[in-house]
Amino acid sequence: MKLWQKTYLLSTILCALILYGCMFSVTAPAIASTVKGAQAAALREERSIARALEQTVMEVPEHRQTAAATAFLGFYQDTGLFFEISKEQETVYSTIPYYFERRQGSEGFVRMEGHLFLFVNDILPSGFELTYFKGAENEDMLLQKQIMTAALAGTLTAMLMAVALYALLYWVNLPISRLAHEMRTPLTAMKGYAETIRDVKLTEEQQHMAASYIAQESTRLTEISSKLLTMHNAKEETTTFRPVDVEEMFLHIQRTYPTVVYKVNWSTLLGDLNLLTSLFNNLVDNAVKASPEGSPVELTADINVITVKDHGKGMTDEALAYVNHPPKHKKLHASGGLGVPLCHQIAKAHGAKLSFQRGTDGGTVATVTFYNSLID
Amino acid sequence: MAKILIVEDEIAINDLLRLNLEIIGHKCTSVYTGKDAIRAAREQGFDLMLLDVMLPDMEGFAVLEKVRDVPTIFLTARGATTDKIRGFGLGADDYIVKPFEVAELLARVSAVLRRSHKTEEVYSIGDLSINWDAHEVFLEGKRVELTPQEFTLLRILIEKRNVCLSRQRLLAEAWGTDFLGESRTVDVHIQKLRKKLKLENHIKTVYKNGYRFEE
Repeated sequence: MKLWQKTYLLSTILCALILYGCMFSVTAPAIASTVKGAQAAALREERSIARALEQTVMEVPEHRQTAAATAFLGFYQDTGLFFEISKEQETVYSTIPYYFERRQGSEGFVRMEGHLFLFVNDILPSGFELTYFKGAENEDMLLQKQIMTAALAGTLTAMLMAVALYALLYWVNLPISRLAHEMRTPLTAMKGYAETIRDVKLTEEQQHMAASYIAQESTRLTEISSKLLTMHNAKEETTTFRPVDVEEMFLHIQRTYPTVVYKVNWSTLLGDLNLLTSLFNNLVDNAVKASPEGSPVELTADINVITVKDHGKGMTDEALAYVNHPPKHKKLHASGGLGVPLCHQIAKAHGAKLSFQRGTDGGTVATVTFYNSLID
Repeated sequence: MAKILIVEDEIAINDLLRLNLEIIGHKCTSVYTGKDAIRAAREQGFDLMLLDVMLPDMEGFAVLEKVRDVPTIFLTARGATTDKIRGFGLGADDYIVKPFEVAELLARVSAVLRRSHKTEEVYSIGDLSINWDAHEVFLEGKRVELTPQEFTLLRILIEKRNVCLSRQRLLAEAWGTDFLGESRTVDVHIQKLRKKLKLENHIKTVYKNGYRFEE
């Protein structure tokens, strides 16, 4: 099993447990209110029956009280209510269909042979102990329904979540291994054709075919590499912008390039220090290389605009056009390196724009115009 | 020479295999799917099959299960040991992991062909004729005595005709990888072969690289 699959399994189990916990805590009050409601209703009914029973019993002489109570409770036959009366711990009357141990002065639920019952036990002033016993099929069904609903909802949500999580992780994790695998094919072909050209006496036609395949497969490799790069970028968290001390950054650059002369009229800007340092290092590096020996490179920061100015020969129109709009998918010049396209990318990441112009007195001015980096 | 079936969906690699195998004199048929491979193997007899494990329509192993009687070298991009074990379990003769070296591929092809006795029995060029099984070499009708080492070297050069073989590779293949010889050893044996068999025009020195047998 791959690491991400293990991580997935563990997090899914954990999430499912938490989910069931939540479901339970949401359902518990509903279940509690069902139970309480049923108990209260039972208690009310028992109280009114008990009052009536007490009245009936008190109206007759003591030796006939038991008979009167039995007669009174006889009315409740076939109503789904069951009763038991005892006097001085002796059961004198009972319609409860199960063996049920009395619990003095208590009330609650009891399950008898799979059926749920509500019971209330009460001692009347006349000395009779009355046990009220009632089938609770409706409450039972309601409770079961509530528990089932919670369990079902929990399971469904957990399953949905598990599937979604798996799909996400699969998408994020698989392409890398697949791309790594995909790289093998062009590599195999390129290596093989290069070896063939080196070792084998080929006809001109065969040589052409081998070379074409090498070119074709290297294009494919480039595509894969840019795919990987995109994926990497997508995975990286977005750059976090913090206030950047412009003078400190310039000082840092000056240490590397002593010919830099800087002016700061914009003390702090919002951006990524590492990326910005890399951007200006690149621009200054180009400017220093274009300058005559010892000639200063001017680094100036005004509100929203930072410029890098050199006193070199300046660029041709063609070169200017190239650095202002470097072709995206073309092979870069050996001397051009990765520098300029990278600079444009960093500027873009800051919502800024990089442009190169010819200076008024020759040389080149690189201008980075910021739009979102002002700190109020 | 041998009839070889190349089963590989990547056209670039299929062509690469065919180019190199045809240069050393084999007859190749290229197919790009597992289905076509099974059909081709049933319709025509092949001496060897080069089989890619990852085919678009089925796994190479499935092809191997259906085509049992053709000696097979499978090509795998994964370095996974399970792949190799599975391949050998199904009766494959050898495997090559991508990216491979062409010289290594050719060596393995020759080895498998030799094991399954699918190599030619007699090879002749000009006044020279060689009977591989009998280990006999005749020049202008007369038998020439070769040491076992010279004979092996000659066989490797001819098996991989038109391909340049470096001194290291010749050492490894003719003397074995354990042999702690110098590349000079190869040079000396080549000189002897050229002289004994009048092969000066066929065994060419490739500058800074090695030797090549040219027909």
